[in-house]
Amino acid sequence: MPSTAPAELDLPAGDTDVVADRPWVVLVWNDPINLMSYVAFVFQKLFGYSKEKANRLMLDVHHKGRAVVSSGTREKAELDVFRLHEHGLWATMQQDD
Amino acid sequence: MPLFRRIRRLRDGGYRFGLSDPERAALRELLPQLRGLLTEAPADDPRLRRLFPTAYPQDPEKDAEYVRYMREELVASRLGALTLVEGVLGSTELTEAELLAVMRALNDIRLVLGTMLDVQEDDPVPDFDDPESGPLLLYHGLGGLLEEIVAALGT
Repeated sequence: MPSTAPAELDLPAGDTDVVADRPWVVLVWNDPINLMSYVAFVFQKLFGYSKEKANRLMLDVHHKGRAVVSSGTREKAELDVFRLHEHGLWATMQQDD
Repeated sequence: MPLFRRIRRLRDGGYRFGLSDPERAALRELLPQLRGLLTEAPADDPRLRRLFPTAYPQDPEKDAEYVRYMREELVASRLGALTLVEGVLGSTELTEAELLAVMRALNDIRLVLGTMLDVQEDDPVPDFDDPESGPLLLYHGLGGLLEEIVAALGT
């Protein structure tokens, strides 16, 4: 796993604290190939979400084009993105604003 | 439509894997093709685009780092699932782990096929009598099987 530490060493301490504190969010984007049932199942399986929550997130992806499916530290978000990529979902991550 | 479900949860916790011989033969051809793509095609091969999405679209530097650390892991994970599936292709009963590997391998093949065919959400259902729609029928056939697998795993 990559570490976030080296990049932060170059920045003034005050700035890094603010930047580091903002959580990272994992987004899943709508795509025309993955089946809706498959996407909902992957959310259930990877994140332990209930069927209802997984379905709601899947429908958000489908109708709104994307949904935030998890959040946390950069390391956690990156692992979640990796697991979603393992399952062929179009996942990206960014720092929450 | 099959008269009964090809994939079904069994009482002992395993899963019925009731594919026909032609279906097994088709998978036996498709799986090595996916393996070949993963091991031999250049990393930027457009057919692989959907298997390796951009993790940090807003930050090329962090994304390059993600690719450096994760790309190989992603390939290894996919090859591991492929190997597992190739080993059980003749079975009529699978464990949950084996069925999950089948699910992932089929979805990977479908992603590659859908990318090559440039499938869109509102595409019409293909004409079953048109020989030209062969790859599209395969794509839809894989989708039908995947639906059954997801339904069985969700019960």
